Amino acid sequence: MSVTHQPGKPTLLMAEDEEDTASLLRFLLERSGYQVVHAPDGKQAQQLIDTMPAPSLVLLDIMLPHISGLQLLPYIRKKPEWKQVPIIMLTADSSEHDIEQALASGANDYMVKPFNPRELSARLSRFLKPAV
Amino acid sequence: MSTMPSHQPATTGETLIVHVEADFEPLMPKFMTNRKKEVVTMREALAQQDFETVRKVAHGMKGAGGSYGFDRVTAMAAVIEQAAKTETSPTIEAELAQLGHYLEQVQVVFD
Repeated sequence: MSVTHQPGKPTLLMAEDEEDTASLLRFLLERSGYQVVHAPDGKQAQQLIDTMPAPSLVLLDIMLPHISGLQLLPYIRKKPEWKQVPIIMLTADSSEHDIEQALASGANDYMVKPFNPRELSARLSRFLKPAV
Repeated sequence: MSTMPSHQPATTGETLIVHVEADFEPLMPKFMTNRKKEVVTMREALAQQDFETVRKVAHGMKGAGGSYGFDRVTAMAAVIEQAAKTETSPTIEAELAQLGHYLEQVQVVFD
C-alpha cells in the first residue's frame, strides 16, 4: 500500500470502516483542500501508520475491524514522528468510557457520529490551518 | 444530535422529505442503495437469530444516517441496535418494517 502525496495539500489519515461515512468524510475533507488517505479497517490503518510519513491529522474511528481505534492510539503515539500529530476520534456512541479512554491514551478530540459537517470543520480548525 | 426512538409511524400519504446539501447529490445513490441492502441484511440476520450482525449493521447505519441529513434513519437504527443488544426480536422486526417503508417513501430535496 503506497501513498502518493500531492504537493501543497495537507494529508489526513482517515480510519473508518463504514463505507458511506468514509465517502462523506472524504468528500468534505477533499472539498476543504485536504488530501485523504483512507484505511477501511484497523489492520490497514496500522500498515499505513508503519509506512506513510506522519500526516497533518488523523481521524480515527473507535470501532474498527481487526484492530480497534483504541488499540491503535498508543501504537501511533509510540512513533516519534507521530507523537504530535492531532488525533480526532470518531464514535457512534457517546458513552463516556471509550471517550475517556481515548483522551487518556493520546487522542486530542472526538466527534460523535452522526456528525454535522460544520462541526467537522470546527474541530479540524482547532488543529489545522485552512487548506484553501 | 439526539437519537430519540422513532415512534411516529409513517402514515399513508405522509410526505417524507429530507433536505440535503446539493453538493452531496453524487453521494446519494450509493447511500440509499446501501441502506436498503442493510435492511435486507438485518432481516436475514434476524431470521437466523444473529443479533450480533443486526447490532453491527445498525451501529454503522446509526452513525451514517444523520451525517447525510437522515435523522430518522439514525433514530430507527439506534432502536434496532439497542433491541439487538437485548435480543428483542419483535422490536427489531417492527423497526425494520418502519425503516424499510421509510427508505422506499422518502424524497430527497437538494438545497
